[in-house]
Amino acid sequence: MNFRLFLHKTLLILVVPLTAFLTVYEYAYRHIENSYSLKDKAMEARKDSIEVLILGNSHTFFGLNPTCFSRPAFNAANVSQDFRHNHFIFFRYATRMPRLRQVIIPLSFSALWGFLEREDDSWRMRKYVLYMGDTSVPWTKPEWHFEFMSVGNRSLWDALKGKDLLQCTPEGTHTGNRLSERDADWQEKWQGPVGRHSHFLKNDCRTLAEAQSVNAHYLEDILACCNEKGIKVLLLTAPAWHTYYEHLNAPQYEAMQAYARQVSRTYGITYLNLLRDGRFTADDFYDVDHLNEQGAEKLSRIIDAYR
Amino acid sequence: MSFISFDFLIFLPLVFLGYWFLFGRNLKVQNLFVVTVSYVFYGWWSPTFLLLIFITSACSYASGLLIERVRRTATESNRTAWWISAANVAVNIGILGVYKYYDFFAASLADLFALAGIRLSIRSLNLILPVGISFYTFQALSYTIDVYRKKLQACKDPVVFFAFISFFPQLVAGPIERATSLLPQFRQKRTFDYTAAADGCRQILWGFFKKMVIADNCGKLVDEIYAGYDTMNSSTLALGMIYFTFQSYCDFSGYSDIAIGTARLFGIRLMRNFNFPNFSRDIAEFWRRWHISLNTWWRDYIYFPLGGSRCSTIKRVRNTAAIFLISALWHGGNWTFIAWGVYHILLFLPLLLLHRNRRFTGPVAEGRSLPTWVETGQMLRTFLLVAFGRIFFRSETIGQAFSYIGRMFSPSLLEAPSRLSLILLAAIGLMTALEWYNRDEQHGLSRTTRWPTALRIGTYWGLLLFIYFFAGQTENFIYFQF
Repeated sequence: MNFRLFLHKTLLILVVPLTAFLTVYEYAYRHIENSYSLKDKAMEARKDSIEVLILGNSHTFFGLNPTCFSRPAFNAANVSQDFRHNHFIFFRYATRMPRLRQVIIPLSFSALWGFLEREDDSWRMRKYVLYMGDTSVPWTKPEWHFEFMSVGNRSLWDALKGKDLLQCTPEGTHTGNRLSERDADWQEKWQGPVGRHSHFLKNDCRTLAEAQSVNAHYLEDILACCNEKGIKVLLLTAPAWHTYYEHLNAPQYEAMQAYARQVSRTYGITYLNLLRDGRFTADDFYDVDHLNEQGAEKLSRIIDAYR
Repeated sequence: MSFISFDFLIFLPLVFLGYWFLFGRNLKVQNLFVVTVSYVFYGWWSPTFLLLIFITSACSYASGLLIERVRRTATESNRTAWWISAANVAVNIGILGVYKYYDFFAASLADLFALAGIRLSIRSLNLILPVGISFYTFQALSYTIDVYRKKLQACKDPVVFFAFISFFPQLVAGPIERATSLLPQFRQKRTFDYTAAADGCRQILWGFFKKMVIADNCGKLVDEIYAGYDTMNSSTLALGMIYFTFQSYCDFSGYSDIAIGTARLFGIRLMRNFNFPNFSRDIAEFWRRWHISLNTWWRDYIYFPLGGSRCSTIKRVRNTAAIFLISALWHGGNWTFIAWGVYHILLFLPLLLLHRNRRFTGPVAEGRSLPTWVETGQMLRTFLLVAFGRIFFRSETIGQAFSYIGRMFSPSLLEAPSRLSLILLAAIGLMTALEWYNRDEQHGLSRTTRWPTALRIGTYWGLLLFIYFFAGQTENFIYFQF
């Protein structure tokens, strides 16, 4: 009797209201537009006109402005987007773009050894599941399937104000990183990004070799498909500030360069390394490894010349 | 499996229903179920850890039985029993020593020889410390020692014994239970107690609030402050010191609240581990209110056998110092913990020598709703002394601790601190107010049962939403590493 009363009260006071609350929360949250849902809709709507598709992580999301291209372009990059998700986006959307002529893929310092699911912002995994239809994520990770699992994430309030990760225009242009918003000591803040990106200092040889093999497989799948369809690929290492590239781990940088040389030779693609490009001055950067709006315009015009 | 995980959210209701619904009628099967789910809970971190807890349990179980058998049969029974007990202590302490202290002592020995110009090359093991090893090892040790001292009869039922060692709510971070209290509870048939279970739920909620809202949010700021302490002003460093004091209290007592509350859902009563230590009026009272299960362990198994306080002044000082040093080392092999222990010896000894260490044994502000100005001053002084000592506890090296302290005292102590979080301060204020209101009770929500239903349920839901929206992102409890 006691036990039943306890169960009934628990159901009445806790389980039922909590389930109702989380259901409403989940429903409401999913209906608030964010960068991922916006890009999904935009790519579906504009799939017949897009000629240049930009993939990649924050280096291309922040660093390339599709409106500065002379051909219809779309920026499908997202923060921390790894090769697995570039692969997913390419095969979900790009293969249905009849006018697609060029794909731009960043080869960042850390790209060959990084996986979104292992990063601090692995919560972004669920954005691909919920708003872009990625069905390959296992259910053993429920936090990648439900917004309500993000406990302690105060973004509901931001989301209700329409700010949930809505960081781009319908062309995919990033709407932030203004020069005026830059930290005063941005040049000194290299330790965080360099530390995060230095996989050679954090992993053993076997782990690194496995990671590179998986990421290379995703990238080369895209390259093979582009070759087959006659789509040009530009592999790009975006510009960075000297305090960033001067502190990069040399063996990791050399391994990344060796891979770039090998893959560009095998697939006949262009690799453009602008990491230390002198055309980018302090006024072009937002932080040590990201361009600001002005820098993005400059880089976009440079890239546009590589048709 | 951590309490702060989705896995536990699924695990707990399933185990609860299985425990009462499926296996509630047969005590043996119910205990076997407890052992099984506890091993699943522990193996969730790493299945290899299960081997260690199994060895600890099996050795202690066997030595208990052997001690009783030699007492019945052998002629020199006491001596043989002593050897068996000592062997069990050696095995358990040996496992603990290898995993927890080998690298520290090896490095310290090499440093010592280096001072004399001798280069000693000792390989470090770099072993991963199994979660909660110090907690269950001490629980197992207390059993064999109690059997040896004839305070307890050896447990013959292996399932009961394994349930006592591995009972999942308190397995990884205590309270460190005594066999005299917990073993009989596994021997008796448990009946569901509505009042205890409901109060258990309240204590779990309170534990989650302290851990997820206060400890985890403090932890993020503390990490930032300690990582960049050489660039921050003094007031921010002082704030970091305060934050870490709340972090360690809410993290550990939060875990204990969740553990005790969870155990009550299963009809098991665990001992109290914290008695609102932030309201202590002096250091001696603080140590009676902080990590009670470990401190009473030291008292019963080290302090009393050494002579306790019924001996000469020199011996009393030696015994007290020994307890603080062992307690410091229990936290791990690092000179920072030893410095923290020495700091507390220095605070405690004057009270001991002046016979003022038992000045405050009753409740604070008894019969009054607010403390007097004197009591407020005493509590604030004790809190700040404890907080100051925690700088050693949190720092990675002694050098960092002194550097932190050095930078904390400068004119910039009067400047506004950075890393000031109003939400976090509000949460700390709410916790302190509720704990003060419940200071004569078991936990911070005990007295809500006297409130009108709407207010009571509103409070629980308010806390639940507070947790949901303002929880920090960390999963691990600080004391898992000990």
